[in-house]
Amino acid sequence: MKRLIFILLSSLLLLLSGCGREPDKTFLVSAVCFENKEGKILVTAEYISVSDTDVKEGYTAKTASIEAEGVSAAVSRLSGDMTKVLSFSHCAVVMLGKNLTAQNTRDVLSFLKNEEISLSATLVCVDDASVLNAETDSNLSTGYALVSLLKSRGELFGYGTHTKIYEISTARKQKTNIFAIPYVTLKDKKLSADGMMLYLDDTPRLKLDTKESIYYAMARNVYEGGMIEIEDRVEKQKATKIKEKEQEKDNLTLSSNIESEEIKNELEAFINEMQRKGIYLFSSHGFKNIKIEGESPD
Amino acid sequence: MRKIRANRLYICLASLAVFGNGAFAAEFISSDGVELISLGLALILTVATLYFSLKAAAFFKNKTNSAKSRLSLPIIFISGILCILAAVYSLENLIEICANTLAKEISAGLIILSLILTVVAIVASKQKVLLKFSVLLLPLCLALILFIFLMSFPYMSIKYLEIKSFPEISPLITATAKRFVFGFLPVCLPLAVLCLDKPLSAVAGGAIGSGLVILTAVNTVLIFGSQFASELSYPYAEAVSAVSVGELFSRMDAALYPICFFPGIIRVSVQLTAAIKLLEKAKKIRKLSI
Amino acid sequence: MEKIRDYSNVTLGTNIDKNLQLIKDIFSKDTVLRNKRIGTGLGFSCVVLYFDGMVNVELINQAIVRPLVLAKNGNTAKSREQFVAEDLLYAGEVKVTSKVGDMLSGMLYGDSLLLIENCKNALVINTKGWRTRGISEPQDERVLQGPREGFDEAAMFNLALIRRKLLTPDFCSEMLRLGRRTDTVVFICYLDSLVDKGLLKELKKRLKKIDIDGILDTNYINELIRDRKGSLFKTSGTTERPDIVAARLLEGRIAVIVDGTPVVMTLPYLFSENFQSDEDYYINYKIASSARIIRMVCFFLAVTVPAFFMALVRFHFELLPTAFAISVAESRGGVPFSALSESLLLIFIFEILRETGLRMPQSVGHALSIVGGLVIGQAAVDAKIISAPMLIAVALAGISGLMVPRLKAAVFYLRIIFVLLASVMGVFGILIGWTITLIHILSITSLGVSSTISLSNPTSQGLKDIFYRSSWVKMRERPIFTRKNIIRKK
Repeated sequence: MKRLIFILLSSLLLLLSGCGREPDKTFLVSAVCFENKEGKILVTAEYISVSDTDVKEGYTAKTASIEAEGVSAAVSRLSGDMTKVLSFSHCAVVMLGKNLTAQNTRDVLSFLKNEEISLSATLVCVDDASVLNAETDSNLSTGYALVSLLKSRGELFGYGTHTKIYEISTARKQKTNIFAIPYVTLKDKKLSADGMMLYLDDTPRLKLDTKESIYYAMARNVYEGGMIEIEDRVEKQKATKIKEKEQEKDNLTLSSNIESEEIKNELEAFINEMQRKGIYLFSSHGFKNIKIEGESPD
Repeated sequence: MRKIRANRLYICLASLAVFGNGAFAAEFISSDGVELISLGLALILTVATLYFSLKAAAFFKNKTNSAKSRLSLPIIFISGILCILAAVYSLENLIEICANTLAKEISAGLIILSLILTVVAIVASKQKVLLKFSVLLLPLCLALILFIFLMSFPYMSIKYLEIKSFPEISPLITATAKRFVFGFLPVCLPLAVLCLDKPLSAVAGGAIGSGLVILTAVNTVLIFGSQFASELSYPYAEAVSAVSVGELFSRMDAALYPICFFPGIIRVSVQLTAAIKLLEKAKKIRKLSI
Repeated sequence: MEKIRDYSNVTLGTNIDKNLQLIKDIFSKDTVLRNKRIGTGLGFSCVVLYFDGMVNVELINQAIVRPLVLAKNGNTAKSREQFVAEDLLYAGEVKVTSKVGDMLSGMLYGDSLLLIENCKNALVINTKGWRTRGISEPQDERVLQGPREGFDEAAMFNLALIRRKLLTPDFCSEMLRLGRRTDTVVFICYLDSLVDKGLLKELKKRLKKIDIDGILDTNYINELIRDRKGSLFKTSGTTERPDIVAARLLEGRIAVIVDGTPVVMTLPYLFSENFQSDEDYYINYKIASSARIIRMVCFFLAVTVPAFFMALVRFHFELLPTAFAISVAESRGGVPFSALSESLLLIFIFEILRETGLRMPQSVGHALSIVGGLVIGQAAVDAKIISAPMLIAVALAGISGLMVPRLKAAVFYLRIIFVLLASVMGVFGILIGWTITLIHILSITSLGVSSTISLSNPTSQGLKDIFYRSSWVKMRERPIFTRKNIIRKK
């Protein structure tokens, strides 16, 4: 009896040992872009093709795109059109086209959660998928080059460092459905990431330049310190912390650890400007006046 | 303290059984601090229930009087059946974790078969082996959980732990009751059966297991916040997937596998072993009664 | 089965010629039996019989022949055989017996038989003189620091080597003979005040049940008495060093010495002994502890690394950093084998190289290592027959396995099983494999004692010689199976 069970189990083990996918039978997707093209979803994936025959060639990054009704359908069809299976496990960047509707954005984010894309992939906003054809200054694909670019900008300016998929999803679940992601464009065939795109209710509403992005990061308490332009000079600002101090009817008082009065005033002006535009950074309803005081929060 | 030190076997077993039941039965189902507070309350209730159930089990232990045996027979029999149901529920839970998180690319049938074989192998060996197994695994799970917690520091935001206002009582009670009944209670009865001779150790183990559950819950909330967690079934798995260790590993999933798997297997084994013990005892009492 | 004639109840007669003929008939086909008739100075004749090559002929001449020939005064109250045994012979050990079975046992073990005219009894005289290898350092158990004595094939001599280490009357040795045709001498040794009498009884019971043609090595006994016949793990310790045997006896274990082999068996055997080396107790405890931890890690690596790499490559590619993942994908491009066949092929090639290196003469060994390294390593990777990362993984596992020679069999089979499990179920399969392996290890018993007994009651003393070695100052207690007399040091 024991021998029979042993034979059965070993046969099962040997028969089933063909499961899984070999890495050379897959294309590793480094970046994927979702756009809205005349009501349909256009998916463009940048993948790394490893040469089968000549290893000295190294690897090359190529792009492929397909159009379909929904996000999942588009991705499945794209995989089906390729000679190898697409693997999203090393996808570093997910690009949302500027023309995606709110529903499209929700579909994409829901798709990302269910697929094998790492939750640490970065979300960015682009005009279209032509960004994937940018020239990079290294041998990496555009997706990986973009992540390095965002990281160095984050270290320099202090904003745009909390734009991973899970962080954006957390921000979406706050009382105010606001989030901002880096806005990436092509300038002279090179990647440029100046500023962020502000999303309200899953729709891109406002383009923020570098300075506005810094103030946005400060307001959302995700600013990590860096260079900031004040009038005609550049100052170094440490990481800031802002806390709600007092709320009285239509007035809100915040406390912060910002030492420079100029930065504090500019930040105050920025927040109030956002309030007027209907973008509430601090609660689900607007305040008439928001003031920032200079005491350090606990 | 010396008494507890001498029963390390049972402490490890109880810790892993409670942790195995707690970490992944603790679904985050609402927001604004309810899940954390209700989790804490449910764990306190677990430790208390463990203590009192051990006392109650000891009451029935040394019964020789046939009348009292007749009373205890249905209780023991029903307890045995409850343990089997708890084991089935736990196995189903474990299969779901494995299918959704650990072994996504493997067919469900193979996962079920391999889990059943593993549980049978543990239960077929003696209770001593189960105890020694937990002694080996507890330090490993502990070390891995602490490691993940430390590695997650750069990804954490302390502001998520802020409870802005105390939640309302009614949803809090509902959440606590649901967590306690479906999450932690199924492990109290089997532990009461298995740890009958070492009650203090079982309670100490329950406390350690509860501590581990709180640590994993806090780890998840600090990374994701409570709101995001409400959409995910097993936020701890997602939290660990989002963490990378420097340049060494892209994701921490490799560390997650033993933490998810071993306590879950121990949990099912404890419940089945307790069920077998109870039913054997019921059979013995029935023979005596007749 | 053919029955061997039992001479244990046959006795001699008084006629010396008939007795001589009886012995000759028993060994009629043996060409090395020698006999010499001696005419004593006392008027009666004797015949000395022995097996050429097993006795010290010079001793026979000096201790037996010479005193008999030169004997003058034979008038005593004692019987003839007692007079010869006690008053004439110069030999150290003389046994008087009438049973032919005892005489044959003695002769076959190197004693000489003296038949005396008109006597029913004969004398069995100790004249053992077979050649032995002498004391040499065991090849497989070399140490950098510590004694370098090793056993040889003579059981009596091995017993003497152990006795030299344990100068106490507490040291006991019991002899028994096993094997229907070989009648091998086996000694059971223990320290009377330390050994668990129940274990001793159990061992004797198992040894008595042995019914086999011949016992030529300790492993015959090991396989016949082991608790779990099919287990991959050892359930008895073996060593060729007397100091190790003495140390184990001091911990309450029992040693089994088999004549004809330098390997001595010790029981019971704990699982942690697989990670101990002979010089652990002769060097600084910190170095010994680190070496022990490295061995444990090496066991884990030897079994898991190829399987883990297989799991990463086939199921969990997302765990690898991107640059490394691309490098792995690149290296696997163009390789005709799947990851599973490649790893199994490499495991077998490594085992072939290892076995060949073991059996080959040293002069060929160097060339073989060059062939193995260059041809298989370099050329096969260049030719895209195998991929470099898999080769590195298997080589690392192979080298790690060499660190734990006592677990050789277990490592080999487990490695293959884990690779198969990983190819079916990825890391999940490896976890299942380790769970079942751990359950098996925790259930192993050696002479009824659990191999992982220290985990049953993990006290600080019990764990001081398991995962690491504490200093001698702190190791106050013996292993837990010596229930009485557990204190080693005050």
